[in-house]
Amino acid sequence: MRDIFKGLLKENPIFVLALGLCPSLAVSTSVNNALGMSLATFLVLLGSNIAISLLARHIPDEIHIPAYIVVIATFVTLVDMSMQAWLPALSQSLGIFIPLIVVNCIILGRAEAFASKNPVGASILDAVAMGLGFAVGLVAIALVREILGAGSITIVPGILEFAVPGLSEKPVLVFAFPAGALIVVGFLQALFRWLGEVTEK
Amino acid sequence: MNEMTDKALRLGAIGAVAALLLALMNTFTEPVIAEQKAQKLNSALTVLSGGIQPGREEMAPAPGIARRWPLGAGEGWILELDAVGYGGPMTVVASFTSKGEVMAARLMANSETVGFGKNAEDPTYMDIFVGSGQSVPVPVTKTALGDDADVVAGATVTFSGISAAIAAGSKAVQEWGGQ
Repeated sequence: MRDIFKGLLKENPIFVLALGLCPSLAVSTSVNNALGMSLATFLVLLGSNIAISLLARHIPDEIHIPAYIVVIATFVTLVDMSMQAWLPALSQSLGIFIPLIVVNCIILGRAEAFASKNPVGASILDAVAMGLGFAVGLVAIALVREILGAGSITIVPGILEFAVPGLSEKPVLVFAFPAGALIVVGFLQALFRWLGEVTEK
Repeated sequence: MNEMTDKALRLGAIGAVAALLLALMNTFTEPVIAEQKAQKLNSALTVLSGGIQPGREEMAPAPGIARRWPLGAGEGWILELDAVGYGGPMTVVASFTSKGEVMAARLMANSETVGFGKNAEDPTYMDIFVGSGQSVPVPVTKTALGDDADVVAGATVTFSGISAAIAAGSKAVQEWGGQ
Protein backbone atom coordinates (compact mmCIF):
# COMPACT_ATOMS: atom_id res chain seq x y z
CA MET A 1 0.00 0.00 0.00
CA ARG A 2 2.90 2.35 0.77
CA ASP A 3 4.18 1.86 -2.82
CA ILE A 4 0.81 2.80 -4.25
CA PHE A 5 0.50 5.81 -1.92
CA LYS A 6 3.90 7.15 -3.06
CA GLY A 7 2.55 7.60 -6.61
CA LEU A 8 -0.31 9.71 -5.29
CA LEU A 9 1.64 12.28 -3.27
CA LYS A 10 5.35 11.83 -2.60
CA GLU A 11 6.20 10.73 -6.16
CA ASN A 12 3.17 12.01 -8.03
CA PRO A 13 4.26 11.86 -11.70
CA ILE A 14 2.70 15.20 -12.69
CA PHE A 15 3.13 17.39 -9.62
CA VAL A 16 6.34 16.05 -8.07
CA LEU A 17 8.27 14.23 -10.81
CA ALA A 18 6.98 16.75 -13.42
CA LEU A 19 6.51 13.99 -16.00
CA GLY A 20 3.83 13.86 -18.68
CA LEU A 21 3.10 17.58 -18.48
CA CYS A 22 2.26 18.02 -22.19
CA PRO A 23 -0.81 15.73 -22.23
CA SER A 24 -1.70 17.01 -18.77
CA LEU A 25 -2.04 20.52 -20.16
CA ALA A 26 -3.59 19.46 -23.45
CA VAL A 27 -6.37 17.05 -22.48
CA SER A 28 -7.34 18.47 -19.11
CA THR A 29 -10.11 20.67 -20.51
CA SER A 30 -12.75 18.23 -19.25
CA VAL A 31 -12.95 15.54 -16.57
CA ASN A 32 -14.16 13.02 -19.13
CA ASN A 33 -11.04 13.52 -21.27
CA ALA A 34 -8.82 13.28 -18.19
CA LEU A 35 -10.41 9.97 -17.15
CA GLY A 36 -10.02 8.55 -20.67
CA MET A 37 -6.40 9.67 -20.95
CA SER A 38 -5.64 8.25 -17.50
CA LEU A 39 -7.12 4.89 -18.47
CA ALA A 40 -5.16 4.77 -21.74
CA THR A 41 -1.90 5.80 -20.04
CA PHE A 42 -2.41 3.26 -17.26
CA LEU A 43 -2.98 0.40 -19.73
CA VAL A 44 0.16 1.33 -21.68
CA LEU A 45 2.17 1.73 -18.47
CA LEU A 46 0.99 -1.64 -17.16
CA GLY A 47 1.68 -3.47 -20.44
CA SER A 48 5.07 -1.89 -21.03
CA ASN A 49 6.20 -2.33 -17.40
CA ILE A 50 5.33 -6.06 -17.52
CA ALA A 51 6.95 -6.61 -20.94
CA ILE A 52 10.10 -4.64 -20.13
CA SER A 53 10.49 -6.30 -16.74
CA LEU A 54 10.38 -9.69 -18.50
CA LEU A 55 12.62 -8.69 -21.43
CA ALA A 56 15.16 -6.37 -19.78
CA ARG A 57 17.84 -8.99 -19.10
CA HIS A 58 17.67 -10.19 -22.73
CA ILE A 59 18.17 -6.67 -24.14
CA PRO A 60 21.77 -5.39 -24.38
CA ASP A 61 22.36 -1.91 -22.95
CA GLU A 62 23.30 -0.40 -26.32
CA ILE A 63 19.87 -1.13 -27.85
CA HIS A 64 17.67 -0.81 -24.80
CA ILE A 65 16.16 2.59 -25.75
CA PRO A 66 14.98 1.56 -29.26
CA ALA A 67 13.79 -1.78 -27.86
CA TYR A 68 11.78 -0.07 -25.10
CA ILE A 69 10.32 2.40 -27.58
CA VAL A 70 9.17 -0.48 -29.83
CA VAL A 71 7.53 -2.17 -26.83
CA ILE A 72 5.85 1.06 -25.67
CA ALA A 73 4.73 1.99 -29.20
CA THR A 74 3.19 -1.48 -29.58
CA PHE A 75 1.10 -1.09 -26.43
CA VAL A 76 0.10 2.45 -27.39
CA THR A 77 -1.04 1.25 -30.83
CA LEU A 78 -2.96 -1.67 -29.27
CA VAL A 79 -4.74 0.74 -26.90
CA ASP A 80 -5.35 3.24 -29.72
CA MET A 81 -6.86 0.55 -32.00
CA SER A 82 -9.02 -0.81 -29.17
CA MET A 83 -10.30 2.65 -28.26
CA GLN A 84 -11.06 3.49 -31.90
CA ALA A 85 -13.05 0.27 -32.22
CA TRP A 86 -14.82 0.03 -28.87
CA LEU A 87 -14.70 3.53 -27.34
CA PRO A 88 -15.00 5.67 -30.50
CA ALA A 89 -16.39 8.78 -28.81
CA LEU A 90 -13.56 8.89 -26.29
CA SER A 91 -10.98 8.08 -28.97
CA GLN A 92 -12.29 10.93 -31.12
CA SER A 93 -12.32 13.30 -28.19
CA LEU A 94 -8.70 12.55 -27.20
CA GLY A 95 -7.54 12.52 -30.82
CA ILE A 96 -3.81 12.75 -31.42
CA PHE A 97 -2.96 12.58 -27.71
CA ILE A 98 -3.52 8.81 -27.60
CA PRO A 99 -0.75 8.02 -30.16
CA LEU A 100 1.40 10.63 -28.42
CA ILE A 101 1.47 8.50 -25.25
CA VAL A 102 4.49 6.87 -26.97
CA VAL A 103 6.55 9.92 -26.06
CA ASN A 104 5.03 10.42 -22.61
CA CYS A 105 8.01 10.63 -20.24
CA ILE A 106 6.17 8.67 -17.53
CA ILE A 107 6.14 5.49 -19.61
CA LEU A 108 9.78 5.52 -20.74
CA GLY A 109 10.85 6.96 -17.38
CA ARG A 110 9.30 4.09 -15.41
CA ALA A 111 10.62 1.53 -17.91
CA GLU A 112 14.14 2.90 -17.45
CA ALA A 113 14.07 3.68 -13.75
CA PHE A 114 12.00 0.80 -12.43
CA ALA A 115 10.67 -1.98 -14.69
CA SER A 116 14.07 -2.78 -16.25
CA LYS A 117 15.60 -3.33 -12.79
CA ASN A 118 12.78 -5.04 -10.91
CA PRO A 119 10.71 -8.25 -11.12
CA VAL A 120 7.27 -8.39 -12.76
CA GLY A 121 5.25 -8.18 -9.51
CA ALA A 122 6.98 -5.00 -8.36
CA SER A 123 6.70 -3.51 -11.88
CA ILE A 124 2.94 -4.12 -11.90
CA LEU A 125 2.68 -2.39 -8.51
CA ASP A 126 4.76 0.51 -9.86
CA ALA A 127 2.45 0.82 -12.89
CA VAL A 128 -0.60 0.86 -10.60
CA ALA A 129 0.99 3.50 -8.32
CA MET A 130 2.13 5.74 -11.17
CA GLY A 131 -1.08 5.20 -13.18
CA LEU A 132 -3.14 6.14 -10.14
CA GLY A 133 -0.94 9.16 -9.40
CA PHE A 134 -1.20 10.32 -13.02
CA ALA A 135 -4.99 9.85 -12.95
CA VAL A 136 -5.40 11.77 -9.69
CA GLY A 137 -3.20 14.60 -10.98
CA LEU A 138 -4.88 14.80 -14.39
CA VAL A 139 -8.42 14.64 -12.98
CA ALA A 140 -7.56 17.30 -10.37
CA ILE A 141 -6.32 19.68 -13.11
CA ALA A 142 -9.32 18.90 -15.33
CA LEU A 143 -11.80 19.37 -12.49
CA VAL A 144 -10.51 22.85 -11.66
CA ARG A 145 -10.20 23.85 -15.33
CA GLU A 146 -13.63 22.56 -16.35
CA ILE A 147 -15.40 24.12 -13.38
CA LEU A 148 -13.74 27.52 -13.84
CA GLY A 149 -13.26 27.50 -17.62
CA ALA A 150 -16.56 25.95 -18.74
CA GLY A 151 -18.76 26.04 -15.64
CA SER A 152 -19.47 22.32 -15.85
CA ILE A 153 -18.29 18.87 -14.74
CA THR A 154 -18.49 16.24 -17.49
CA ILE A 155 -17.91 12.67 -16.36
CA VAL A 156 -19.83 10.85 -19.14
CA PRO A 157 -20.93 13.26 -21.92
CA GLY A 158 -24.70 13.41 -22.27
CA ILE A 159 -25.24 11.10 -19.30
CA LEU A 160 -23.36 12.38 -16.27
CA GLU A 161 -22.88 16.13 -16.70
CA PHE A 162 -23.36 18.87 -14.16
CA ALA A 163 -23.60 22.61 -14.68
CA VAL A 164 -22.05 24.92 -12.09
CA PRO A 165 -24.52 27.73 -11.33
CA GLY A 166 -23.07 31.14 -12.07
CA LEU A 167 -20.00 29.83 -13.88
CA SER A 168 -21.85 27.95 -16.65
CA GLU A 169 -23.28 31.26 -17.90
CA LYS A 170 -20.09 33.28 -17.43
CA PRO A 171 -17.03 30.98 -17.31
CA VAL A 172 -13.50 32.30 -16.72
CA LEU A 173 -12.29 31.47 -20.24
CA VAL A 174 -8.56 31.72 -19.46
CA PHE A 175 -8.80 28.37 -17.65
CA ALA A 176 -9.92 26.68 -20.87
CA PHE A 177 -6.68 27.79 -22.54
CA PRO A 178 -3.08 26.58 -21.97
CA ALA A 179 -2.21 29.64 -19.85
CA GLY A 180 -4.98 28.68 -17.42
CA ALA A 181 -3.72 25.10 -17.39
CA LEU A 182 -0.24 26.27 -16.35
CA ILE A 183 -1.69 28.41 -13.53
CA VAL A 184 -3.75 25.45 -12.26
CA VAL A 185 -0.76 23.08 -12.48
CA GLY A 186 1.35 25.57 -10.47
CA PHE A 187 -1.16 25.86 -7.63
CA LEU A 188 -1.86 22.11 -7.55
CA GLN A 189 1.87 21.39 -7.57
CA ALA A 190 2.25 23.54 -4.45
CA LEU A 191 -0.72 21.79 -2.81
CA PHE A 192 0.53 18.27 -3.60
CA ARG A 193 4.07 19.06 -2.42
CA TRP A 194 2.70 20.49 0.82
CA LEU A 195 0.46 17.44 1.31
CA GLY A 196 3.47 15.19 0.65
CA GLU A 197 5.51 16.97 3.31
CA VAL A 198 2.66 16.92 5.83
CA THR A 199 1.99 13.18 5.40
CA GLU A 200 5.74 12.42 5.67
CA LYS A 201 5.90 14.15 9.06
CA MET B 1 27.72 -14.70 -34.48
CA ASN B 2 29.27 -11.33 -33.85
CA GLU B 3 27.97 -8.87 -31.27
CA MET B 4 26.38 -6.51 -33.80
CA THR B 5 24.40 -9.32 -35.46
CA ASP B 6 23.23 -10.54 -32.07
CA LYS B 7 21.90 -7.07 -31.17
CA ALA B 8 20.26 -6.67 -34.59
CA LEU B 9 18.56 -10.06 -34.25
CA ARG B 10 17.28 -9.28 -30.75
CA LEU B 11 15.87 -5.94 -31.89
CA GLY B 12 14.43 -7.58 -35.01
CA ALA B 13 12.77 -10.29 -32.90
CA ILE B 14 11.12 -7.68 -30.65
CA GLY B 15 9.92 -5.80 -33.75
CA ALA B 16 8.57 -9.01 -35.32
CA VAL B 17 6.60 -9.96 -32.18
CA ALA B 18 5.25 -6.39 -32.01
CA ALA B 19 4.16 -6.52 -35.67
CA LEU B 20 2.48 -9.89 -35.12
CA LEU B 21 0.57 -8.60 -32.10
CA LEU B 22 -0.58 -5.50 -33.99
CA ALA B 23 -1.64 -7.55 -37.02
CA LEU B 24 -3.65 -9.83 -34.74
CA MET B 25 -5.36 -6.89 -33.04
CA ASN B 26 -6.03 -5.31 -36.45
CA THR B 27 -8.02 -8.35 -37.57
CA PHE B 28 -10.45 -7.69 -34.69
CA THR B 29 -10.59 -3.89 -34.76
CA GLU B 30 -10.39 -3.09 -38.50
CA PRO B 31 -13.91 -4.35 -39.43
CA VAL B 32 -15.44 -2.60 -36.40
CA ILE B 33 -13.71 0.69 -37.23
CA ALA B 34 -14.67 0.43 -40.95
CA GLU B 35 -18.31 -0.21 -40.01
CA GLN B 36 -18.32 2.76 -37.64
CA LYS B 37 -16.89 5.04 -40.34
CA ALA B 38 -19.53 3.88 -42.84
CA GLN B 39 -22.29 4.42 -40.26
CA LYS B 40 -20.97 7.87 -39.42
CA LEU B 41 -20.85 8.85 -43.09
CA ASN B 42 -24.35 7.49 -43.74
CA SER B 43 -25.69 9.35 -40.74
CA ALA B 44 -23.99 12.57 -41.91
CA LEU B 45 -25.41 12.08 -45.45
CA THR B 46 -28.89 11.62 -44.03
CA VAL B 47 -28.61 14.85 -42.02
CA LEU B 48 -26.96 16.81 -44.84
CA SER B 49 -29.38 15.73 -47.54
CA GLY B 50 -32.30 17.34 -45.71
CA GLY B 51 -34.68 14.53 -46.57
CA ILE B 52 -33.68 14.30 -50.26
CA GLN B 53 -32.32 10.91 -51.25
CA PRO B 54 -28.63 11.25 -52.27
CA GLY B 55 -27.74 9.63 -55.58
CA ARG B 56 -24.82 7.40 -56.49
CA GLU B 57 -21.41 8.52 -55.24
CA GLU B 58 -18.76 9.66 -57.68
CA MET B 59 -15.10 9.58 -56.74
CA ALA B 60 -12.72 12.56 -57.12
CA PRO B 61 -14.88 14.78 -59.38
CA ALA B 62 -12.51 17.75 -58.93
CA PRO B 63 -9.25 18.63 -57.12
CA GLY B 64 -9.84 18.90 -53.35
CA ILE B 65 -13.15 17.04 -53.61
CA ALA B 66 -12.86 13.38 -52.66
CA ARG B 67 -16.46 12.34 -53.45
CA ARG B 68 -19.78 13.82 -54.51
CA TRP B 69 -23.37 12.69 -54.33
CA PRO B 70 -26.13 14.35 -56.40
CA LEU B 71 -29.23 15.46 -54.51
CA GLY B 72 -32.58 14.68 -56.17
CA ALA B 73 -33.00 15.79 -59.78
CA GLY B 74 -30.49 18.63 -60.00
CA GLU B 75 -31.39 20.02 -56.58
CA GLY B 76 -27.79 20.18 -55.36
CA TRP B 77 -24.81 18.18 -54.22
CA ILE B 78 -23.25 16.65 -51.15
CA LEU B 79 -19.46 16.91 -51.30
CA GLU B 80 -16.70 15.24 -49.30
CA LEU B 81 -14.04 17.94 -49.16
CA ASP B 82 -10.35 17.72 -48.31
CA ALA B 83 -9.23 20.37 -45.83
CA VAL B 84 -6.08 21.10 -43.85
CA GLY B 85 -6.27 22.07 -40.19
CA TYR B 86 -3.86 22.63 -37.34
CA GLY B 87 -3.41 18.88 -36.84
CA GLY B 88 -3.10 18.03 -40.56
CA PRO B 89 -5.65 16.73 -43.09
CA MET B 90 -9.35 16.96 -42.27
CA THR B 91 -12.47 15.75 -44.05
CA VAL B 92 -15.52 18.00 -44.32
CA VAL B 93 -18.83 16.88 -45.81
CA ALA B 94 -21.20 19.62 -46.89
CA SER B 95 -24.43 19.87 -48.84
CA PHE B 96 -25.01 22.67 -51.35
CA THR B 97 -27.96 23.84 -53.40
CA SER B 98 -27.40 23.72 -57.17
CA LYS B 99 -26.44 27.41 -56.94
CA GLY B 100 -23.67 26.74 -54.43
CA GLU B 101 -25.42 27.83 -51.21
CA VAL B 102 -24.37 25.83 -48.16
CA MET B 103 -27.27 23.82 -46.72
CA ALA B 104 -25.40 22.02 -43.95
CA ALA B 105 -21.89 20.77 -43.14
CA ARG B 106 -20.10 18.39 -40.78
CA LEU B 107 -16.44 17.93 -39.82
CA MET B 108 -15.56 14.24 -40.12
CA ALA B 109 -11.99 12.82 -39.84
CA ASN B 110 -9.52 15.20 -38.23
CA SER B 111 -6.62 15.40 -35.77
CA GLU B 112 -7.45 18.80 -34.34
CA THR B 113 -6.58 19.83 -30.79
CA VAL B 114 -8.93 18.76 -28.04
CA GLY B 115 -10.79 21.76 -26.59
CA PHE B 116 -9.92 23.99 -29.56
CA GLY B 117 -10.08 22.78 -33.18
CA LYS B 118 -12.02 19.67 -32.08
CA ASN B 119 -14.90 21.99 -31.18
CA ALA B 120 -15.60 22.16 -34.92
CA GLU B 121 -17.06 18.64 -34.64
CA ASP B 122 -20.03 20.15 -32.82
CA PRO B 123 -22.82 20.28 -35.46
CA THR B 124 -23.80 23.82 -34.35
CA TYR B 125 -20.27 25.06 -35.26
CA MET B 126 -21.12 24.71 -38.96
CA ASP B 127 -24.10 27.06 -38.59
CA ILE B 128 -21.64 29.89 -39.33
CA PHE B 129 -21.49 28.65 -42.95
CA VAL B 130 -25.14 27.76 -43.53
CA GLY B 131 -26.82 30.07 -46.07
CA SER B 132 -23.54 31.37 -47.47
CA GLY B 133 -22.02 30.64 -50.87
CA GLN B 134 -24.54 32.33 -53.17
CA SER B 135 -25.59 35.92 -52.39
CA VAL B 136 -23.51 35.94 -49.17
CA PRO B 137 -19.92 34.76 -49.68
CA VAL B 138 -18.59 31.87 -47.57
CA PRO B 139 -16.86 33.52 -44.55
CA VAL B 140 -13.14 32.79 -44.88
CA THR B 141 -11.85 35.32 -42.34
CA LYS B 142 -12.76 35.97 -38.72
CA THR B 143 -13.75 39.52 -39.65
CA ALA B 144 -16.31 38.14 -42.10
CA LEU B 145 -17.89 36.19 -39.25
CA GLY B 146 -18.88 39.38 -37.40
CA ASP B 147 -20.61 38.49 -34.11
CA ASP B 148 -19.92 34.77 -34.71
CA ALA B 149 -16.12 35.26 -34.46
CA ASP B 150 -16.19 33.93 -30.86
CA VAL B 151 -17.28 30.52 -32.19
CA VAL B 152 -13.86 29.98 -33.79
CA ALA B 153 -11.76 31.63 -31.05
CA GLY B 154 -8.60 29.67 -30.29
CA ALA B 155 -8.87 27.60 -33.46
CA THR B 156 -8.29 30.01 -36.34
CA VAL B 157 -6.26 27.50 -38.40
CA THR B 158 -9.06 24.92 -38.14
CA PHE B 159 -11.63 27.54 -39.19
CA SER B 160 -9.46 28.69 -42.11
CA GLY B 161 -9.07 25.09 -43.33
CA ILE B 162 -12.78 24.32 -43.11
CA SER B 163 -13.88 27.63 -44.63
CA ALA B 164 -11.43 27.32 -47.54
CA ALA B 165 -12.71 23.81 -48.29
CA ILE B 166 -16.36 24.88 -48.12
CA ALA B 167 -15.68 27.94 -50.30
CA ALA B 168 -13.95 25.71 -52.87
CA GLY B 169 -16.89 23.28 -52.74
CA SER B 170 -19.37 26.11 -53.27
CA LYS B 171 -17.39 27.38 -56.25
CA ALA B 172 -17.23 23.90 -57.79
CA VAL B 173 -21.00 23.43 -57.37
CA GLN B 174 -21.66 26.79 -59.04
CA GLU B 175 -19.59 25.62 -62.00
CA TRP B 176 -21.45 22.29 -62.20
CA GLY B 177 -24.87 23.88 -61.76
CA GLY B 178 -27.69 21.37 -61.56
CA GLN B 179 -26.08 18.83 -63.88
